[in-house]
Amino acid sequence: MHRPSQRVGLLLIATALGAGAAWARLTEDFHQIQQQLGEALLDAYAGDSSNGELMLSSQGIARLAPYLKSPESQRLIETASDGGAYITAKIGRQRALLQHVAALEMLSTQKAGDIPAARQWRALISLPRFVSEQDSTLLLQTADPSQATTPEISETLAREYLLWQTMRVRQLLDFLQHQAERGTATQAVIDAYTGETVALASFPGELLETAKLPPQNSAAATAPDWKAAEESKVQASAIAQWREELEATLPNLLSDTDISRMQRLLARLLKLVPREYENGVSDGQITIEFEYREAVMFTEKAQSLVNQLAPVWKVEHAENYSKAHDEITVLLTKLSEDIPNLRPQGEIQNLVSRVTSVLEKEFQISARRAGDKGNIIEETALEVRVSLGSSLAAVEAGQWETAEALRLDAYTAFDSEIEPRVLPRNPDLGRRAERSFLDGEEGAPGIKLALDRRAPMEEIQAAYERCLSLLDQSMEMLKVAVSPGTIAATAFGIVAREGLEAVVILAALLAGLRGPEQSQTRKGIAIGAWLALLATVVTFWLSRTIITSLIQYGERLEAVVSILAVGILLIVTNWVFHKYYWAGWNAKLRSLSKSAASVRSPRWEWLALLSVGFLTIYREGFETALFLQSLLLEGNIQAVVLGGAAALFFIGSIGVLTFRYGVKLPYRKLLVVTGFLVVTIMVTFVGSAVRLFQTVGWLPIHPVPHLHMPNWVGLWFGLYPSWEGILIPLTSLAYVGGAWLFTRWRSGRNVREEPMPSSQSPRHNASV
Amino acid sequence: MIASAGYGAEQALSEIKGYLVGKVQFMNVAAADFVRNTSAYQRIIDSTGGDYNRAAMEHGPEIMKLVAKMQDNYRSFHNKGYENIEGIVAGTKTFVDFDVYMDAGVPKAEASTDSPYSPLVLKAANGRIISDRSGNLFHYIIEPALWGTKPFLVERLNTAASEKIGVKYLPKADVVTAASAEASRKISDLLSRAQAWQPTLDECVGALVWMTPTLNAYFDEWRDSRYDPVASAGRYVAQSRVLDMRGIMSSLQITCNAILPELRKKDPALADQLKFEYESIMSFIARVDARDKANGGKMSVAEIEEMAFQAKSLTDQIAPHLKQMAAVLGLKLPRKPVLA
Repeated sequence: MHRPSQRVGLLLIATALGAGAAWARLTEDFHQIQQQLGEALLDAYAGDSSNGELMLSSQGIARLAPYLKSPESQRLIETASDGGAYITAKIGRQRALLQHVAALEMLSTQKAGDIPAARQWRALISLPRFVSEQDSTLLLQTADPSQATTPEISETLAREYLLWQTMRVRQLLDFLQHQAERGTATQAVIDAYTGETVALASFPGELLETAKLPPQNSAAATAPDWKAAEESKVQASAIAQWREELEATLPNLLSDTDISRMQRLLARLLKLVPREYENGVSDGQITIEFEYREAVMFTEKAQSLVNQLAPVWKVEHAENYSKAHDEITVLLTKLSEDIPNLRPQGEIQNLVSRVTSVLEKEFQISARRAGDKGNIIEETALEVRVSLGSSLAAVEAGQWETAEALRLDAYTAFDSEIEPRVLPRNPDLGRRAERSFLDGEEGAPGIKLALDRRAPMEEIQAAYERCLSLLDQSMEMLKVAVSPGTIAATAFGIVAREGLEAVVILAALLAGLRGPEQSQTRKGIAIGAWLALLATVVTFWLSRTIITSLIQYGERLEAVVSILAVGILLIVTNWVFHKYYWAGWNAKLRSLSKSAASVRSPRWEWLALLSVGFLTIYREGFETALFLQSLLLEGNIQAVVLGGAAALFFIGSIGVLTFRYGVKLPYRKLLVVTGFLVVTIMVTFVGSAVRLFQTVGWLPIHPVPHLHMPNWVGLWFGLYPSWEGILIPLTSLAYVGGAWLFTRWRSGRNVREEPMPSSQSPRHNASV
Repeated sequence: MIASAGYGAEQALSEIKGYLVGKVQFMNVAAADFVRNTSAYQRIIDSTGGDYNRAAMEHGPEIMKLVAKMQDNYRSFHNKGYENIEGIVAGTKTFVDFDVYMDAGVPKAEASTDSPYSPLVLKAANGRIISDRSGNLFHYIIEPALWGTKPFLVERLNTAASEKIGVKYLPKADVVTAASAEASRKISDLLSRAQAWQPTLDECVGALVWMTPTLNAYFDEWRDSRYDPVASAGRYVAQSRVLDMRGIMSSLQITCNAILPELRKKDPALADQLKFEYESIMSFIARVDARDKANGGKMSVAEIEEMAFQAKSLTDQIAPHLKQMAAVLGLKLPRKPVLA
């Protein structure tokens, strides 16, 4: 005879065995139903519906009724035989309802504390591709059931289920759309997949409630009535439209951070498509398979992101969504067709430009960040490092898909913000850094390759380290290129040069206006000069305001302003070396001051004298103000102010020595020295302008093979290791030198023919 | 001693090891027989001074019997042997080099990081190089030599000899002799390593995680081949892929079943689910095969696509559950086994 404790033990064992047997039967029955539905569908496709009818007539998924505890899943089972007239549609619907029933039972048993049953129902749920669901699994792996019955765990489980099934809905839609595009979607296929998709996308209210999500707008989630005989393009287009409506009803499980990340990724992926295509396809032939595949993959990912973001846009940008979404879908579909057809690069670029333009205009989505360039680079580098760090952590946790997604985030961030700035400065480093995210180099595989081949951990870590090291090198180079010292020195050079010119010209004018009888004249010129200084400050402020308002254009704005700066520098260099400009300008000022002195009306005399002073200084001030804008875009304001202030101090000292104490300084020598400084700055600026044009893609980059240039060559002389980066600045130097020689030759001839009056000679001016 | 101790785990690992050793022993026997048969074949060819036509005319029935035996030997150690352990061999770091050498390695010229080359260098007795890293032993040497699909591995017979024995080609004797010796040596090495193997749950579950999703790739090849059901190549590939799928999945199913009792202690629902998932896969492969053979191989596009979709769904479903099993058992999955 058994003692009571033994009886309880035996009872528990018997219960456990009974429960175990019941679990096994449920799992077996569930699998059997799934298998029978699959077979019935295949038979129906082969033209034999009898198996399906037999299967459904023997209740189909209603056979699960004895296992069900949740009232909502029981209600679902009661509606299982609905689904229209077509047998394949009914089969599709039942396949979907199986999932909802399993999810409802999982939650029902979990809430009731029957954790083993909850685990069993959860294990039966069909999963989408590449899903990782270990975290929630462990939530249900607790010895104490009370810990696994909390509402928080219910919410996590419900959200997880909704995420899985929304992903599966998209996979089913992808399959259907693909079949329609290929023209292989028969009426039976369409019925089965629309039936399954509609039922799967209509989530039971209890699930949404547990997940703390609002009820669905299920009005659009109905299966349309299509004719399979229709032309495949018409059919595919109708499916695409219906897909859009259906996806808009799916619950939004994305956080604001997710949305922002996905939007940026979308823009970046699109930006990469034409670049990869250009690298991988030439003259209608695939030249580099890897690059071509990337173009295809990025387009597919972009389409997938648009699908995922569409419901969000529909809510958040309702008006723009209605006019823009169709256009985006059509353009992306065309892109996905044109790439495999190896269409010309221009067409691919055009399509991408149109999509990115719509995204930017209607949804304010841009690949590049807005704001101060230095901050953008730093922020992007941080983002890349964080993404790579998280990616490596994901590898260590065995989450390969997550690792790959994070790698892609890091790569697209690098490719959008850092690589375009590195390439013109050092194409070799830029390309090596880019490849370190992808396939790498011989003997040093890149991260993607290491992930794809599931390389040993040491190899993967080495790939990440190489990539981070190249990122660091790139950052070091970018930091040097915008170093405050360089900016300050350039600002000093320009302000000093322009200021010196102003002082020299003013001194030359005033030299002929000595004595107390000329004091009014001198005063008029001085007031004009002070007014010009004020106007220069206003000009600086105005141009700064305009440029700041256009700051979102980033390097494109810099490129335009840099061209202005180069123009100014060319004028300045002419001014430095060409007697004609000196002579002409000074002659004009002298004649103006003389005519002012001869004017009888005091008012007009004052105005003329003011004009002389004003023009003398403002001409230099205007050039300086505009030029400094270019410097401000390149670097930070502190460095510009420091360089400018030092130059002002220098010029101020010379001005005091000249005008107050009448000291005769070696102006000509000073002008020559600063003149050479200006020519150096001009060459550097032309080089920078070339680099900026290359950065924004307005100029190509043709690297000079095997040429390694130290950073300081770019820093001080604006020369970067590409044919464009070397030849264009040197051409500008040749132009200035050539123009100088030409002017010398001409003036020499003029002197022989007609000697220049001594009062107009630069020597005279320069030795005031 | 077996790692990842615990009585249940020990038993599971012992079962897996026992299965592997048993299959390799079977392969070893077949390989030894293969060596005997190739030696006999070599003796006949040598007796005619290397004249295959004369050998066919003078020893026709004996030669054909030996060729049939050699083909049977190959089926035994490859189809019935290796394919049933491929999931374990290719899925574990301990054995993956055997897989590359004998069954999966490509020629050096075609190798990539995802698809390594076989380091096999095969020399005939007289020093002639038959293959220098030009592909694996099974599919690049033995199979084409025995079935006459690569001219440099066979001797073409003249009309009289061909009519006499009913085939146009005979395997080159020095090729099959060298290949059989190499197969025997390598399988013997595999046996030694299998016997010395200290399996861990980590690497066995790793083999399941890495090898089960390969079903997708095999199924894609099956689907593509089914679009050309008339072409004999298409039919051959389809049938081969079904055999591949069955072989690999059966060894994985056995591996999984051995581990399930250990899992069942912690998560009976997941254990049941995995058991049924592997059964579903095996049953699905059988049904695919049956449909493939029914109606003279005719199949609609909708059926082909649906089968491919269902196959993908099955592997999509099982892969996370395997990872889940690793998490529940507290295992640290090894990396995908590849040759450095």
